[in-house]
Amino acid sequence: MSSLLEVEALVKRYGERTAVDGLSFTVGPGEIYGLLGPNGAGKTTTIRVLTGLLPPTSGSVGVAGHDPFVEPLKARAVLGWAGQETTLYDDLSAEENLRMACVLARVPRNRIRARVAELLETVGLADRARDRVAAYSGGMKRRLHLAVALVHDPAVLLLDEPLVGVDPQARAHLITMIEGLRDRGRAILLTTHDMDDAQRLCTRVGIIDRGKLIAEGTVEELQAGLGERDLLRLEGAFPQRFEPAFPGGLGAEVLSAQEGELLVAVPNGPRALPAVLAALEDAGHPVDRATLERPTLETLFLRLTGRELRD
Amino acid sequence: MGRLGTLTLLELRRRVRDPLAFLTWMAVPFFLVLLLVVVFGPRSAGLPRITVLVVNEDGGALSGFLGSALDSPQLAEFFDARVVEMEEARRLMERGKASALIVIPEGFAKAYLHNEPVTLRVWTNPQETLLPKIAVEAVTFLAESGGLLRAVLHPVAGDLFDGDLETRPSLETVLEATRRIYGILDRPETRKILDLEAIPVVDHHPEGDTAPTRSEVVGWFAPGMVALALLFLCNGQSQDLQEDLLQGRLARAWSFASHPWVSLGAKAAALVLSATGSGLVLVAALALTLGWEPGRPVLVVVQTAATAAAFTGLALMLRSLTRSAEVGGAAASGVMVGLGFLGGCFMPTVFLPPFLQRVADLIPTGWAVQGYLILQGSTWAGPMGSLPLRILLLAVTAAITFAVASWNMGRKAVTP
Repeated sequence: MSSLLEVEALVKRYGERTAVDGLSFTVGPGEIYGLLGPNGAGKTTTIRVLTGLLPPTSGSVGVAGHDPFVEPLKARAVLGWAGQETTLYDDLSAEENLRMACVLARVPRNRIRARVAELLETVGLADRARDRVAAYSGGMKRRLHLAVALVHDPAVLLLDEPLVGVDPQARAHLITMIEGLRDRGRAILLTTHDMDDAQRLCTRVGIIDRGKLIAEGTVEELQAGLGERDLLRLEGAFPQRFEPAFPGGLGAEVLSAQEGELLVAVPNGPRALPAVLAALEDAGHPVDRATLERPTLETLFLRLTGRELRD
Repeated sequence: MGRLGTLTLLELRRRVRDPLAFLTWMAVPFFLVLLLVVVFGPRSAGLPRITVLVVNEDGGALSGFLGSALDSPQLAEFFDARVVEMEEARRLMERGKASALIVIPEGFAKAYLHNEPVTLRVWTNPQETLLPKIAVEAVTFLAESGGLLRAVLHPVAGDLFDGDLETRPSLETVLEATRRIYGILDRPETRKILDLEAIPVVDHHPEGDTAPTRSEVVGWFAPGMVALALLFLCNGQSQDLQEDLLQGRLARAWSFASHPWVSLGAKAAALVLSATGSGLVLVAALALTLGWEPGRPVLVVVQTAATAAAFTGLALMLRSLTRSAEVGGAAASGVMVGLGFLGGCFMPTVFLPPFLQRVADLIPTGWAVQGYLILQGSTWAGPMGSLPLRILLLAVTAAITFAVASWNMGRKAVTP
């Protein structure tokens, strides 16, 4: 499978601050690559570099074989970008917003009318096509925002947090749209800090923290990295950075120790729970509340960085 | 229609979706000109009449001459002279109801007739500046005239009253005095002093109505007001482009396969076109309703377009230097008001000190106002041949400021 999107040892610095630090990954046709990380991890900067708007400090990027800085118009001709914030003209209608995007994307003049109608139908806004966008709900704006990125039917799509702040109905609609694009062979790079979205949509995931890729693989591969372990979320009078001593045979590992809360990974959680509770009781820190959880990508991020995704 | 044309039309559609904003920008200067016409126009009140109080402590008919002189048909247009008692005069002055108080002292007439030193006292209203000075000047003029008359008629006056002002002279005495006065007035040396035709005064003021016509007054202020309206309209509109930048719409447009100049050019063209259209609507409104004669229509269109382009570029450049719409708006407004004042938008530059008049020759607002003045035929602003230079200067300003604004905005648009 040849890649439509290639990022190789990408570095982007703003003065002394390094936003992206040696990032490498590829995205092939029919693939949704999830770039996961907390706010400020370098996801949006990576996307800006891929659009050709922001020059990299070093490294290289390729969009369908075109370097966005050497051949910007060729790269952009096959690239669709929907940024984190909706960037629509509130004082124009949905139809006019799409027409404007068609003209900018060099859609042939005799194709514009049909393309606009097709997209309005796809995003379910055909009956509101002539209404001003200012009157739209947040979910409708999100759908139109995505449609604008699709006016030239790009082979590569960059979706920056596409599901943030939308109601459940719009969310379901957008997920169906993204899955449909994947099924039609589009290469999609999707950034998110929501593990559920990544687990639902992404064929491969790259976990990024402070500009560095710290893990990569399919969701299943990454979950396997945690082993067959369950998670115990324990609440009690625990101090910050508490390091309790568990019996060696339990195989327990403290993933996170916040004040009042411990997150412990153990094989076979239901059987290990009584021993864990007893060990903490003996250490003088009885547990007030215990919850048994299945491991997720969020757990993996926590294990890799020691921080929650929304920190 | 090409891509640039289609995008410009869509951008223009964004502009005209809010016609109220345009009407507001254009209505304010229109009503300002209307108000100025009312204040300075043919039906204006002009200077107020100056209220002068006269207290005649001397009491005689001769003393009353001064008060009645201020009440003569020639001076009554300017003065409202009232002869009052001292108590009433004090009360009115304390309440600020008069500009000056003249006190004719006891013994004034006797001293006057006998060619003795005499003093007139004038109190002025401290709350006023100009009107009391005019009153004092008028009284001084009357007193000097009285001194001249006394110099000529002193011998007759002495015989006529014979030093006794209380006793009425006999008819024979009056007739004899009259005959002698005519004799004195007929003397060549007297005529040299009194004959006003010896110093001819030619009034060059146009005949008929002395107040300026309405179209003249409109012509004083309309050029500045049109430039001012464009200045504020362009500043207000430039906020839209700054918001396109700050809210990521500019970066989004640049992510498509068109050169950034296409989207930026369409946005700038729409701003200039809508400002030009609005400016021409204002010019037409002033011409149709207030009788302004702005000049040749084709040149007015060119002048308005050049002005709109220069002011739009200037506003965009100022906003591109700031990081938020609020700071950008405040900075641009401050600079615009300053440039408007120095350029003669608020008042003709002839009212400004000479060095500030020279500043107007060096700034875009000055070129804009001067252009409109030249077009309407105000030769003091420059000959018609100097109009192309001003339009060229405005166009160069537009080109430079657009280039700076584009570079700055381009830099900011791509940084997340």
